[in-house]
Amino acid sequence: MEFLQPILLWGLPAVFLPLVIHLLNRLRYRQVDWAAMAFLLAATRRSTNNLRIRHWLLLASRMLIVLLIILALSRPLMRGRLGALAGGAPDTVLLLLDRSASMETQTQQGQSRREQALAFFAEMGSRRRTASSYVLIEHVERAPLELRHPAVVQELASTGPTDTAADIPALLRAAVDYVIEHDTGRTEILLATDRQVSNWKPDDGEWVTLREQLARMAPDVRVLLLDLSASDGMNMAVAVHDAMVRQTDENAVLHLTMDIRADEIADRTVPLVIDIDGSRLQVDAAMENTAVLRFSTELDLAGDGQQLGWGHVEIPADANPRDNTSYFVYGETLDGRVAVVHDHSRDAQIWRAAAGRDRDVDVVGIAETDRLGMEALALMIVQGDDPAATERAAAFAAAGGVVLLLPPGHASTCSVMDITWQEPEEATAASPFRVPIWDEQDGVLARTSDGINLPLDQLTITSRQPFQFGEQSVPGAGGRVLAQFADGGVFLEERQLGAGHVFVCSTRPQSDWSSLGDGMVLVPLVQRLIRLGNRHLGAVRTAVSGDWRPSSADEVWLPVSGDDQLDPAIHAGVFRSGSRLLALNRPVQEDRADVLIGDTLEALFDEVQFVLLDGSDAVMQASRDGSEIWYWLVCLALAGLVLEGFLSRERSALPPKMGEGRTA
Amino acid sequence: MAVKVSTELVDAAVLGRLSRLTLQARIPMAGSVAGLHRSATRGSSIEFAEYRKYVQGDDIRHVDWRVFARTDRFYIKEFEADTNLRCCLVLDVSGSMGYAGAHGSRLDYAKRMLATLAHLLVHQGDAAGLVCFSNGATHEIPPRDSPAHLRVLFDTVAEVQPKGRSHIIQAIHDLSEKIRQRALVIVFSDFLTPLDDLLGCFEHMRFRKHDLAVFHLLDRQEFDFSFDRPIRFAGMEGEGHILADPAVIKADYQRELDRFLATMEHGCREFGVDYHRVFTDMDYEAAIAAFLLKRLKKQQTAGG
Repeated sequence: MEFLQPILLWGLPAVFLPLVIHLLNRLRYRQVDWAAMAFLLAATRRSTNNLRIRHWLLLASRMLIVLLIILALSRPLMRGRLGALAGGAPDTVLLLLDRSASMETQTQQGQSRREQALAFFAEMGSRRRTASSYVLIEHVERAPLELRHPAVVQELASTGPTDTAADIPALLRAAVDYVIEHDTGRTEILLATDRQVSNWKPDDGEWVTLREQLARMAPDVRVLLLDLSASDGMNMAVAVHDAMVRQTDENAVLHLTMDIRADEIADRTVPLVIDIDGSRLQVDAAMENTAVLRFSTELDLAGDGQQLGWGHVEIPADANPRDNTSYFVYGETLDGRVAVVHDHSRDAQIWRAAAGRDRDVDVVGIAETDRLGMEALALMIVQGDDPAATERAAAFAAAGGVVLLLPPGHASTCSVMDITWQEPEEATAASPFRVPIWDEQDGVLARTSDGINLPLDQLTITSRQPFQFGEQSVPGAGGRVLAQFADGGVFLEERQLGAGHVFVCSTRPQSDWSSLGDGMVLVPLVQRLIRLGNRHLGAVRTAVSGDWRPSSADEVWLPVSGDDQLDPAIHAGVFRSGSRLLALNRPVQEDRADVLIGDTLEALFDEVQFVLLDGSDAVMQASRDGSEIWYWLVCLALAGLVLEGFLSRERSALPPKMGEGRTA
Repeated sequence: MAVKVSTELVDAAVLGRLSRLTLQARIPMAGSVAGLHRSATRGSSIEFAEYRKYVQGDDIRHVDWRVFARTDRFYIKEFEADTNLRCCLVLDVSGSMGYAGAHGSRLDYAKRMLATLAHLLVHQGDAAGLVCFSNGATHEIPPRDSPAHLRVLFDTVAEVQPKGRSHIIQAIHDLSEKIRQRALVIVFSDFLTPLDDLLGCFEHMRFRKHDLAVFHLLDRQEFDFSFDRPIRFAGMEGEGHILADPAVIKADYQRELDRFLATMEHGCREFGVDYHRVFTDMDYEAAIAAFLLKRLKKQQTAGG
C-alpha cells in the first residue's frame, strides 16, 4: 500500500494515544481508604468477565478510529484486486506534454520543466505494476502516440524542446477526442505543464465544452495536473521586435528594436551580445526599476545595405536558456497591397480608410473577382460567399497570405473554406450584441506596445451572422477564437490554412451591422493583418515558431547555422530557402511568466475529477497505480465511532444514577 | 479533657428539641422501678389490665369488693405496670467505622447519635449502658440511670477509636446471653460482615426477647460510588488493596451493595429488628427524631 500524503503517517504513533491516556489515568490513581471491600472484591471478580472485555473493546475501538483517521488523511492507494474493487487502476493513461519554450526553464532539480515531466512519466511507468496502456500527446502535433512503456518518452524526438507556444485547451481536446474515439475505459489524463496563462487561455470558449465533457466522463476519466511552475532563480528574456535597414548618407544602418523582459522589477544592466553575420558586439541595456524594456540600437552595416543578412541577440544565461536568444533577418522587405472583394460599393471607403491612404488597395465587386491582381498582396478581404472569390482567397491563404472573411448576409456554405454561415441575427439598438471577451495577450486583437487595449467592449453590434468551421458545433473548435460575444458566440476567429491565415468575423463594418466602421478597432485590426501578410512577401521574413508553415510542400528551409537538428516548424533560428531568409522566434507570450492561479484552475476544472500534483513530489504522488481508499477508511472510522458510542452508552447505562434507578 | 470531648458529643439545642419525644420500647420491659414503659408484670398504674380469681397469698387490698358484693366471689383487680427500661447501646468501633467521606467519619456520627440517645434515655428515667466492641477490646458499661453515669458513658464513647476487624457477630451473641432481663438493644454499625451470621445474631436477640434496634450507618460515597478515575482502594480492616477503575466495576459494586441492603432489610423485618438506614450526610437529629417517632407511633398503635 502506498500513500499520497505519506508524511502524515508520522502521526501513526497517535494510535497509541488512547492507550497512553488509559495507562496514564491508571497511573494517576489516588488511594482511598475503603470500608466496603467485600462488595468491591465481588464486583472486581465479576467485572473481569464481561465489563473488562467491554472496556478493552472500547479502548481498541478508539485506537482503531485514530488509526483509520490517520490512514485516511494519508490517502492510501490500494493495489491488486482490492484496489480494483475500491476503484481500480486506470485502463489507459494519456500523457499530455506541454513542450513550449517556457517549459525549458530550469528547476531546482537541475532539469528543465520538460525534462522533469519526462522523468516523471518514465518514473511513474516504472513504479506502476498494472498493465495500463500509455498514450503520449504532445502539444505541437497533438497526434496520439501509443507507447510500449512510458519510459521511452525520454528517447522520443517528439518530446524534445521547442520554441513554440502550447495550446492547452487544444491539447486537452485532443485527449478527450482520443478517449471518446477509442473508448479507453477508466482513464487518467496526465497533463504536465507550467501553468502559463498564455498557454492555458482560460477565456477560450473551448473550456466550456471540455469541462462539460470531462464532468460527464467522471469518474471513469480523471485529470491529473503535474504542476511544473516552479523555477530555479530569476529569468530574463529577449525578443527582437523589429530589424530595419535604414540608409544614411554614409552607409546603411541596422535599426534593431527588442524587448527585454525580466521576472522582477529591478534596476539592472543587461549585457546584450548582438551577432550580425558572424560579427559579435556587446551593448549594455539599462533597466531602471522596470520589468520590461523596449530597447533600440543602431548598428552600422558593411556595404550598401541592399544585401540580405541575419543575426541574433543574446542575453546572459539564466533560468530558461530558451528565451535568451532572439533571431532577426534584414534586407529587402515589401509592403503588400490590400484586395477587397465586396458585395456593396459603399464599403470601399471604409476599407480604404482602414488600410491607409498610402497603401495600394484594390476594391472589386463580387462579379469582378477575375480582375483582382494577386501580386504583392498582403491581405485579402472577402465580403460575401462568392465561390470564385473564396476559392481565390483560399489559394492565397494556402500560399501564406492573410484573408479576412466577412458575413455574406444570408445563410450559406463555403465548401472551399469549410465554413457554414447561419442565418443573420438581429439585436435592438437598445441592447446590442457586445464583445466583452477577447485575447488581449496575443494575436491581432492584443494590446498595443504601449499596453493599451483595443476598445472591443465599446463596439455596438446590431447584426451578426454566426458561422462554424466544418462539422464543428463548438465555438472555436475549428480554429482559435480571438473574440467572443457575451453569449458565447464568436466575433472573430483565426484559422491556419496552409502557410497563411484565415480570419472570420461575424459582423460587418457597415453602420446597419455594427459600429466597427468607426475605426477604433477596425484600423488596428486591418493594419495588423497587413503586417502579418507582409511576412510572406519579400526575400526576408519573420515568423513565429509553431505558427509558420511553408507556403508549399516543395519549399525546403534549412538552418543557416548548419545545425541539422533544427526544424523550422518548431524551432527558432534563421533558415534559408534559396535566396530567401526566414527568422523564426518563439511567441512573445512565452516570455511572460504569468502562472494560472489556483482559483482559475479550479474554475476551469469545476465538477471534473481533477487532482493537482505538486511537481516536487509528484512522482511519488501519481506513480501509484492503486485506487484511493480513504473514503472507505472514513466509513470504517464512522462505524468505529458508532461502536465506540454504543460501548460507551452501554457502560454508562449500567450504573443508574441516584434518582434514576437506585434509592437510598 | 474528657469532659470537653463529652460535651462535644451532644448538642444542647438538639437535646432541647428532642426532649419532647420519648424513647419507647416496642415490647413490655422488665424494669426495676416505675417508668414510661409497659412492664411484663402487673403493677399499680391506673391502667386496668384484667380480673383474676383470688388465690391464697394475694394481698387482700387488691380484692375488688364491688365484684364480691355482686357475685360473692373474690376477684383480684390487676393493673398494668409501668416500668423503666434498660437500654444497651452497642457501638461498633472496628476499622471500617473510621471511614470518613465528605461529611466526616462514620464513627463520629455514630458517637453523636449514641450520646444523644443515652442522654434522652437517662433523662426520661431509663438506664443506659454501653458496649463497644472491636478487635478483642471491649468496653462495657452496665446500664445505669443516673446523670453521673452518663458522664462516664460519654467519656468512654469519646475515647474509643476505630481499629481492627469487626467482631459484631460474637459481640451480639454474647450480649444476648449476658443481658438477663428484657432490654432495648440499639446497635450502631456499618454491618460490613457476613450477612447470614449477622441475621443469626438478630434471631438470637429475638429469642432472648430483647427489643433490638439497629442503625445501619452508610456513607453516601459508599452508596453512589461516584469516582472519576482509577482508585487504589485500601481495606480498613486489613483486607489489602485493590486497584480498580470505578467506571468498570461501578455497576457490579452497586449491584452487590443493593443486594446486601435488600437482604439486610428483609432479615430485619423477619426477626423483628427495628432497622434504620442512616447516611452520614443526613442530619443526625433528623435520624434520631425519625427513630423516636416511629417507635412512638407503634406504641400508640399498640395502646390504642
